[in-house]
Amino acid sequence: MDTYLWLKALHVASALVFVGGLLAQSVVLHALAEDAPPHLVQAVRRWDRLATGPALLLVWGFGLAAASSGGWFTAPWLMAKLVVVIGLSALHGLQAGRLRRLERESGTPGFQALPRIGLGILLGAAIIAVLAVLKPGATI
Amino acid sequence: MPVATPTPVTALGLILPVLIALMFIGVCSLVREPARRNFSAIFVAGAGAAYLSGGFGVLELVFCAAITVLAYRGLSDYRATGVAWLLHSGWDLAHDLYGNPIIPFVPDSSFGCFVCDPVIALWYLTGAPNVWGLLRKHHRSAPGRRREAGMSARRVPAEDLGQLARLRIASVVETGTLASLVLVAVPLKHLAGWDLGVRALGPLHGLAFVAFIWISLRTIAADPDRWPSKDAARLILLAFVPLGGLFNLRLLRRKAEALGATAG
Repeated sequence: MDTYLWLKALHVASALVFVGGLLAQSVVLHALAEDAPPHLVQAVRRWDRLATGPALLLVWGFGLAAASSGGWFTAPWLMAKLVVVIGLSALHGLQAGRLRRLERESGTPGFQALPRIGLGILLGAAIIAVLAVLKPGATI
Repeated sequence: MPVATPTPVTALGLILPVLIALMFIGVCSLVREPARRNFSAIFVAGAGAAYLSGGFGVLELVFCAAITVLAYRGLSDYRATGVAWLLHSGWDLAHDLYGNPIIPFVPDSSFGCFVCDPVIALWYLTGAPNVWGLLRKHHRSAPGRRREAGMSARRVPAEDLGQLARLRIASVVETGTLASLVLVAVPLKHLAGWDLGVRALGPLHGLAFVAFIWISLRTIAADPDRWPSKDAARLILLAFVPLGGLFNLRLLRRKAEALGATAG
């Protein structure tokens, strides 16, 4: 099997782990912002360190390698996908910081619009899947 | 063996040199000071002589002499070692284009060094910190251990200082890759039709930019009281200016000093 398919498969696997962790982060921030049990926040942060964070790094590493290997860098669908991926990566950084603060200072308010953020993550993941599979505008 | 010039850019050809650089940094971090600084200076001096029979005639001697001077300065200042590795990266590129690789029987060896050397250079330019020490510091400040040790859960200066140190490194890497891309690779593409630099540096800068934004947001969101909107905006906006990130280093040093004062 060629390198491109391997890179693509590992990229998708990392993305699944990342989106799962991002959603978990989001739910915990929403549910526990008022009165956060320290052990649960610690558990989510530990999961973030062990799985979601490394998965984010792998998503980017394998993604850039696959795009380079497949010669997709100038494709419009990839540019659109990159915008969504940068948004989700930034959201992860923001939420990771909020979790750290939550662990340190109990009673820190969560994001006001968190349910919509959860919806945004799902929408973002759906857009990414559609763009990556259909590759609009590209001759596959 | 015929040598393809320039070396075709592949995913593996970009990832492998970066991994080698990270391994080099990991191993060098195990060496204690001042041996780490002295070894680094001697090593770059040796690397500077690798192309003595590289085909550029008297220029090879000039380059070797320049690296020797920088290596001597490197015995007392890591920045000189960093600059020497950046020059070496440029020399690697020249030899890749010329078709005379650093390891004669490995045709893409000079291209590999061209990608690997800037990563090493950035580590030296940030003072060659012990990466294992940084990781241990982060691990020691994990919440469970902190509580076990009866420390305050209110303030975590070690973790916050570690976060600022990572942000400093991310800032240097981001600004360095952007400057190389915009000031060197893009003009070479449009003026000389040479697009290898853009193809190699584009993805690397993309990764560095996202890492910087991610670490910035994580730092700001964890401690919004210490990050007024003005500072946060400055941190992010300067990332879009080539070499602008260097102006963030003083801000980050100030934040670290303020944090250290609070901890004390």
